[in-house]
Amino acid sequence: MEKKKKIDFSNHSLGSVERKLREAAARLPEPEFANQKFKDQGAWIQSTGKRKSWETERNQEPGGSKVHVPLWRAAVLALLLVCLGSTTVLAASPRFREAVIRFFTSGNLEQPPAEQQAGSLTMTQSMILDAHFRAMYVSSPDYVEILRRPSGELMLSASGEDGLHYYTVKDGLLSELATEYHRLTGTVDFGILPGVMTEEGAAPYDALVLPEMTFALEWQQSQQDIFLPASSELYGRRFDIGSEYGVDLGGDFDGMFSFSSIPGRTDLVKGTFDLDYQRTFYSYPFLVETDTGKVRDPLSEVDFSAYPCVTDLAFSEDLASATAMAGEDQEHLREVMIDLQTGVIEEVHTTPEGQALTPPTEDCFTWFVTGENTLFYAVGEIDDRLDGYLYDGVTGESTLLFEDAAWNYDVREEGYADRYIDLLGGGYGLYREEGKAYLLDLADGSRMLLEGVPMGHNVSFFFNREFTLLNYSVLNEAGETVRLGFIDPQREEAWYFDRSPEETIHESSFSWYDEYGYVISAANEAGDAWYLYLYEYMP
Amino acid sequence: MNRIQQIGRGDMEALIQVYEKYKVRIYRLALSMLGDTYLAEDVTQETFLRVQERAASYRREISEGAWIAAIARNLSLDCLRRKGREVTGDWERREDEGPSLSEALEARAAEEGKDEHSSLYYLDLIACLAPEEREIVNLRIVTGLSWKEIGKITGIKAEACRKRYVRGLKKLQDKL
Repeated sequence: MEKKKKIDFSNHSLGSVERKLREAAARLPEPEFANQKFKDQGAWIQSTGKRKSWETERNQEPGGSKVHVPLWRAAVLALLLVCLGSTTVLAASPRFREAVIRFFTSGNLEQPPAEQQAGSLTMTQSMILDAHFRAMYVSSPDYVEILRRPSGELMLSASGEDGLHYYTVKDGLLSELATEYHRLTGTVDFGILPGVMTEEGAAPYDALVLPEMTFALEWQQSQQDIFLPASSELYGRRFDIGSEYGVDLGGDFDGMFSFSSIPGRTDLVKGTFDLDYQRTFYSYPFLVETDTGKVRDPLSEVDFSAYPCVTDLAFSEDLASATAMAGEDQEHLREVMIDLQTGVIEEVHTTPEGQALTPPTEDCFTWFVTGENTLFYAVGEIDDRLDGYLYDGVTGESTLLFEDAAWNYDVREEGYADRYIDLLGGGYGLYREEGKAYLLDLADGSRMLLEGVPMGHNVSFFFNREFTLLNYSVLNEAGETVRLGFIDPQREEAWYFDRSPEETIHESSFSWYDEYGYVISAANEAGDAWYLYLYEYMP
Repeated sequence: MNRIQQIGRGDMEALIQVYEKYKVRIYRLALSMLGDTYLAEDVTQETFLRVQERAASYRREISEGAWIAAIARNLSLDCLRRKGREVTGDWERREDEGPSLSEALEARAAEEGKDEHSSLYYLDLIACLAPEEREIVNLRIVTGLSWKEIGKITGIKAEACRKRYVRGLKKLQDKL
């Protein structure tokens, strides 16, 4: 490999210069007329080009009340609404299938248990809410999370003052799992890494040379599993640059170590070093032997010379292969499969002629493969409007799916546009126009009308990891879930129930814990009682 | 149809939306190029007048924001030429009266003080840059355009724009 220039980190502070410039630019004054809105009285500016004097009016709040969503909740909603791909459907294309998803409910109102001072971790038996939903409730004096072992067994972890405790769940009973605490420190020397742009901004990306770095790893170990501390445990320490969790590389380089367990293995742990350079993030994986602390490079046999930019590495459970997004630079990434034994990188998606399946234009806002020979791509600008196309890699034809749809709009700014597209991941999108909402399938351009789902910024959508069930939640003004629904795109049906949440208990997060299991985490106002509301959907 | 095209068809609502979205950014770009708040206000108003006049001719080769920034940039350059100040891009300076832009910015910094919390501190910072560096820094920092867009607006290759930008940052590094 050609020897690359070593970066002197002590002088590498252009990022901080840029940051100060941006901060200073943000303090530049606004024009005198910034608070004035011009009236629409027909012709503000005559077509002759003569400038009329500015008409002003008092700055008024937009009319109508809005549902207040606590800021953190809005952030969660915004996160949920931004997913991997975008899907759109042209309103009047006869080529695309149309369907209607109908919403059903038994009409029962769930009343979760009232606040209680739990002296210890408790869990109810599974309770039937109706023909399609079961619920279990967990209460704990400490922060509690739900886990799933590779075997499918449900587990809970509770974070107390004396550390982390793990519990298995069997027949509705909790049993604490015996674990041992372990800690080690190690060093990792990545040497020359591909995929990072130097200050000269040369393309393709030059390589970055990192110094040898030390890390700390701590975990709880049972006979079968390794449990790494919940993120909340490490939060303060993880982001403490200069600690053994964060690495200060000088100037505008910041890095952080994080670790995850490998299901079914106690001899190895996966590590990642995340590098932040000028607000661009790069992740570098490595493996740690838990007996010795020795570091292994899972990519040592791989030749990345044809793919200088690599992101989103995901390893197979047996560590024999990995998938990644790779390409010549960050704007030309495509999915590849990497054989970690032989080092061979193969494009995952190719046309029948063996060419990599990529969009017909380089100027894409986003794109992703949706079928064997099809992909979706959108053109436009972030925070603006998108046009979306379905591209057929066999025929080379692009079909316009939607035009001028607002993407990733602020949930509090309803009325911004006539059409909206939200990216849900898994080749699905949520498309709205004229007061109607559609679930779009990008693989074939079909769309399903979501009949009965209220649309507004108090409604969130969230796919499970398998992209087989779409949760939709309706929140009240306090940001608590008052309706919980599950949309099955394959069956084209949806079931929901309404909730009457306890006023003194406040939701903090929600997620899927398995394909049909959904959990809401909550706590009381004092923060000394934590709750999990577990819902299982039965199609 | 995007908003510029809607404006070209007489859609006032689209014009209002565009105005509300870009007015501060365009004003700050003009202020950074001209160093004068009154001129910057004039240029800003003139920019949206031109947006309305020329919307029908908008082609989607660059984004809406870049297109509007290009109008503001060109108006600012015209303003500088009329005032006899040095001009970015042409690198010429008329021999008649008028200080160079660098001199004007330095004079302002001397007047207002070099307080980094001042609202005009940004102008003080960029005063030390060569005109060709200052223009790229302004387009990148103030309007947040991509290298490709900056290249299209200035007629310089994106890579060259980036290099001028880095050169400018290095100069500022010493100043900071």
